[in-house]
Amino acid sequence: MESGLALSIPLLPLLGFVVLGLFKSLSQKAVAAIAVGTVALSFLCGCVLFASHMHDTEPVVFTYFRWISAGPLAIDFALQLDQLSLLMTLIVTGVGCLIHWYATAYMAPHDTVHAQEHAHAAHGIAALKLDDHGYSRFFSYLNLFTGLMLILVLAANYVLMFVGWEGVGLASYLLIGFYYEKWSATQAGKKAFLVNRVGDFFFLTGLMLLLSSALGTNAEGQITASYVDIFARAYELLTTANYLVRGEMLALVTGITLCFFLGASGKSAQIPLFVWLPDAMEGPTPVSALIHAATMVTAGVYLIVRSSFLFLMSPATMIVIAIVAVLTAFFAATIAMTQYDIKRVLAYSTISQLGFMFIAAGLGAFIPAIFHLMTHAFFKACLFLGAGSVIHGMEHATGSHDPAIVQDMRHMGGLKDKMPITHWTMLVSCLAIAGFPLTAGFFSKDAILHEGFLFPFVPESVRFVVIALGYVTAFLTSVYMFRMYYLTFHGTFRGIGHVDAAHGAEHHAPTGSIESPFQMTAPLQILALLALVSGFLMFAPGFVPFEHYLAPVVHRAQLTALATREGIWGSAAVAAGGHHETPAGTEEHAGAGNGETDLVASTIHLPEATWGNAFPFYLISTLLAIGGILYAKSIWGTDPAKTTSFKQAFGPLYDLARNAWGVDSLYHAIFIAPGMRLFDALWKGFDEGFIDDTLVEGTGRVTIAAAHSVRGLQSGYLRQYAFYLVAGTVALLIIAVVVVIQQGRG
Amino acid sequence: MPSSGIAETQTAWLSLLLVLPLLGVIALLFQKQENDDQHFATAMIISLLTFCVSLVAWFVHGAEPGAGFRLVEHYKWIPSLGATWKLGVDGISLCLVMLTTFLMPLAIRSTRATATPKKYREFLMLLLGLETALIGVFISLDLILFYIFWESVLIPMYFLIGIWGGERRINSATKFFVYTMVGSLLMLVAIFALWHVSAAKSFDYEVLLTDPGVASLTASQQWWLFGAFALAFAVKVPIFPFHTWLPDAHTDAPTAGSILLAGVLLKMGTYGLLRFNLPLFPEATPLWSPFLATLAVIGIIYAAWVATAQTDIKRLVAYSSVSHMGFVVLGILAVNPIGATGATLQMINHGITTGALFMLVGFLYDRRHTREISEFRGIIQVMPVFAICFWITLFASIGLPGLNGFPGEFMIFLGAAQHSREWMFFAVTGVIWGAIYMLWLYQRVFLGKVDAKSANAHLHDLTPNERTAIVPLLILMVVLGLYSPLATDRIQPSVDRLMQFSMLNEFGQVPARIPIPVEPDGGIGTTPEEAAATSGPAATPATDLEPGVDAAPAVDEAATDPDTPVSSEDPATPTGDAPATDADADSATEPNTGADTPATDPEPAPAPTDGATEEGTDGN
Repeated sequence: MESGLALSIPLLPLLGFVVLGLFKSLSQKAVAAIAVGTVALSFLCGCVLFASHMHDTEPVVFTYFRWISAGPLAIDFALQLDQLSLLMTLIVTGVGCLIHWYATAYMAPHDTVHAQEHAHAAHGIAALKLDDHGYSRFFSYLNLFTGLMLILVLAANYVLMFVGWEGVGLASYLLIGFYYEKWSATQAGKKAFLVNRVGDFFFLTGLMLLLSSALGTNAEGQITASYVDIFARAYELLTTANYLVRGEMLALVTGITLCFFLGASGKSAQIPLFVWLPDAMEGPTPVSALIHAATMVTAGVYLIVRSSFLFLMSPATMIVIAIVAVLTAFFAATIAMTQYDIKRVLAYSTISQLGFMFIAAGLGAFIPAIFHLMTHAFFKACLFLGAGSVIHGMEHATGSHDPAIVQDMRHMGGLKDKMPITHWTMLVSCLAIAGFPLTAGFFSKDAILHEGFLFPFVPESVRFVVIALGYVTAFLTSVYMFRMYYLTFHGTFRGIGHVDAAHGAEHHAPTGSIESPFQMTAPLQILALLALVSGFLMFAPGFVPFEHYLAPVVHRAQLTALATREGIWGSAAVAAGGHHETPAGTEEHAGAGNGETDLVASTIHLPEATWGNAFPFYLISTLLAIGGILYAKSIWGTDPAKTTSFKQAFGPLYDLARNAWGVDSLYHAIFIAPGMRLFDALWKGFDEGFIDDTLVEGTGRVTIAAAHSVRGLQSGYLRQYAFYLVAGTVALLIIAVVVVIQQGRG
Repeated sequence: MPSSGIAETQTAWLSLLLVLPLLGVIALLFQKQENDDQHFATAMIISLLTFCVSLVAWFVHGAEPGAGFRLVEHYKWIPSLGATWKLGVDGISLCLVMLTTFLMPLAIRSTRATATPKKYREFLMLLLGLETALIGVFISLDLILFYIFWESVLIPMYFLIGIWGGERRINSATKFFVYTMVGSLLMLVAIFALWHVSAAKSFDYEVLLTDPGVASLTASQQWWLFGAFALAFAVKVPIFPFHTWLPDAHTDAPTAGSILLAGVLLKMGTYGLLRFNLPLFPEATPLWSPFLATLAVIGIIYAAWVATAQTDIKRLVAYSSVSHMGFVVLGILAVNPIGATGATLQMINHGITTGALFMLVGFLYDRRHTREISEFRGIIQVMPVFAICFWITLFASIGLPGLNGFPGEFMIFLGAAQHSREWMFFAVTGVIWGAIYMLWLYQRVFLGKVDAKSANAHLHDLTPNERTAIVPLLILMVVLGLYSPLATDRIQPSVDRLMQFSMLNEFGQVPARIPIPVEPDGGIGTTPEEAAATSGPAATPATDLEPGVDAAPAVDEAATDPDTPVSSEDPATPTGDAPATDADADSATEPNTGADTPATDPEPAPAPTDGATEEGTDGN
């Protein structure tokens, strides 16, 4: 029963994908109903399971069938239910459902943005042939994405997770390139997929290292790749292996986790693989909200938290993650400060916020990482959907459908009265992401910086630097978000005339409301509400506090890591335990060494967050958030002319940041351009020139030439043959004589 | 005598598989030329019948547990040479036979999708002849027979390229023929050398596997023989740097030829490597594998890079084929069950996806008569169904999980990683390179705006005929992607058995070739008479621990004499059953007899089916 319920979570949206993909003639209403309905049903199934597994201490695994088997390899199609996977399920389906709903209006072919956006893109003669199905095509992709994302979070082993992992990359590719007539969109889609593939390469490499090592083989000698087996095995090796074996294993784990991190950095747009995400904004705005803000890009964070057991075994990897993450957060924030395209501001903001989640993961504060993942899903989805609503309004106001015009904040201004609902929801989300006190972002960001600082998994000096730079970034976040807010909603409406006088002279301030329809504003308001209050889940009166809720997933890993650090294995723990070889089987709450954990817990403690040690962090956060808002107001609040002074103040740095620190052109210069030259040279020079022409055909030519040269021998003249005969005999005789003489000497 | 449980397997299904396409050739021969519909119908019916027969073989094979050869047919053929007509399939070859018989009707279907080739009758005759030869390669259990089929594949393919090919067809066909044939000559020498060293003086694959003479070859002797076989296979696969015939052959081959060339012909090489090189020369494998695996890895990366630079769609797919076959070779050379199972699965998958890719490229060529990528743009707008078909195939080809390319690739990577992390690392980069050339191709051909003035604007979408040819392949991609055990359940036991002969243990010995002392009563669960019957020929040598000396007397008496009547389970065979072989046949029908005596039975007589050896592996 429960297993069926669990399976139906990912299957429902996938079913929706199949139905929408196969039956192209469905009416718009039917498409919307199927798309939203399947995700909503998944959400309900998720809620039921969420409630029933809230207090579990061990994961529940449902195995459906053997998916890949060969020799000792035995990969099951199995889903794992625990607090983490179920929470992720709720986020994906909950936010997903709202965004699907929003998109039913946003993507509607007539009267709204999509048709015009599409019409603008599509000048091809036959374009309409597919465009008829654009609506259902969009929702089939969106459902495909949701289903695969659910497989990613619910999978019970790394291989099945990889199915979702690559699958969401595929869905992202399809949705970024949704307007396939637009060359830039197809480029962006391709870029996203390829950069993700580089990440996937690292993920696969890490997975192969893991599965081919001692950690990959479970007690029965099978390679199952399941989380339960691998962590049980890692635990067993940690606690029983001798010093040398353990050292070797830890070195390998460093390699594995670094590969995993690089894989995660592809999906979650961290340095060095973040370049695809800003371009991904070519996709329709609901896609940006769902995939490139709320869900898919958090898969990397999920991977690290899911593998916390492995990551905590390698302090080196943790340090790398923390440092890379904080640099990502910082640099992305500086870039966001300089962008004018509203969606690109949000894209860099997403990269920066993902950086915060990775900071948390790198410092071992996994629960705040997931907490921030959740709150970020709410406020960033709200921001993106709000941006979509703004763009929608801008199209009405300016009559233009060129993204370069309607998404440019220099053309906006003063929209707060024209779009009241969009305005207040975006304001709330801006406050949340800036970390304004008592909003969701305030609690989650603070938890990251606070707990990250307390936890001793990386050296104190690293923690200090990371947290300090984290606070700088928090300030920048507040500044750039309110830069966006003020440029968009305050001041006076600038319109196209502001930049392009010849074109937009007639477009002055729009008259009357340009607010979006109900299907768009309702999800906005729900998300804004969540962005406002979800922070209180930290304390959750009458509910399980977030920290305790997720503890079963990561607590054991944290304690084990601490115990390893303290070197307590070997004597007490092993002597007292002895149950550690019982990895969880299927379909039951298998206990994997609770005895030891209890024992460890009695000797090892994680530093606990208290009001006392939290206060300074709260104070700094508050000051920075409010300071940032005030700073933004002082520059962009009323007078757009001040913008230039801001630009001048930073000079060349501003331009560098505006071009995303030149990473794109750097990659192009290092990899793409030389690569293409190399490939071409290999083909024409080496493959066709050397191997084929010289070696292969050369052999043929030599053979033919040789044949020609000996053809003269077959002259048919008897006297010539007689000559050969005599000459040959003489030669043989000479050889024989020489041989005899040689032997005589020997 | 064989019990009733095995009776239905004695229908000569495999010979029927070989004869059916030839019957089609004859039927076509008697038809009047230029009657294209009739030719098409004949060839279609014949190829579908062949497919049905292979389906029967599939189910008959599945009905019997075990890893060894099934449906074995064994007749006298060239007694003076010791060559016999021995056919049989195990999970590996059966999958490849299925691939062949499955692709053939689709390839034939695709020939009449838009444009029918000239001299259609002859075209179809060659295709059907090719089918017989291909099936023969996979089901021969006698090395001479294998070699004959191996070489006879060249003839129809040569004419298919040379007559119906593109601009440089003569050049490409000649290169294909000469290159692959020269490569195979040393294999013939090696086959005779094997016969020479074998104690049984036999070409029978199963006899050679356990033959003490072959087992006693030194590592350096094995090195030479391995090399001779490997050269033939390397050219066929093709392994870098022997690959340059392939892009030319593909570019000039007609579509149906390309489908079979990429879909099946290339697998002959990897099949041979797995079937012959690994188990026959286990001690040479570690000597060769670093070298060959390096070439395979170079091939994976290099061919993908070169594919990226291509301007002709078909050449691009051809190079991608070289790259993908590198994965298969790598999986085989990992010499472990995971890698080999993955490699076999990937042979099937590659046959399906690359066959489909060539078919789709052919459809496009029929419309535009060009394959230059730069000629196309945005054709998704005018050919949406075609674009979706191409899209699925392309993602299957680059190993997207959920489609068929992934499980095989995954196993190959893991198998390689178990052998060498370096191999694995460089091979896994293939997932990046593959995505680059494929997605770039897709973008340039299908995406963007179609130019209203260009010929692309007037392309018509796939016709129903074309859809019937491509859709079965697409379905298979999805099915195998979601449920690979469909194939691996058959492959895995046979691979395990092969690996018993191929993998060296920690002492550098081949476990399957080390005789283990047996209980005289023949094992648990057998009745006394059965035990007596089983242990009759087997018990004599089985106590000796030294490989290579033990089985000689039994073998000499039973099998070295070429006049010994060859046993057969087929009641129709005129030869009488000698008592010894009778007993052996009995042992094969009784799964329990050999349960605890794996590999001890040196197969004194050319056993009609797998004897104790494979039964022993079943329990593993």
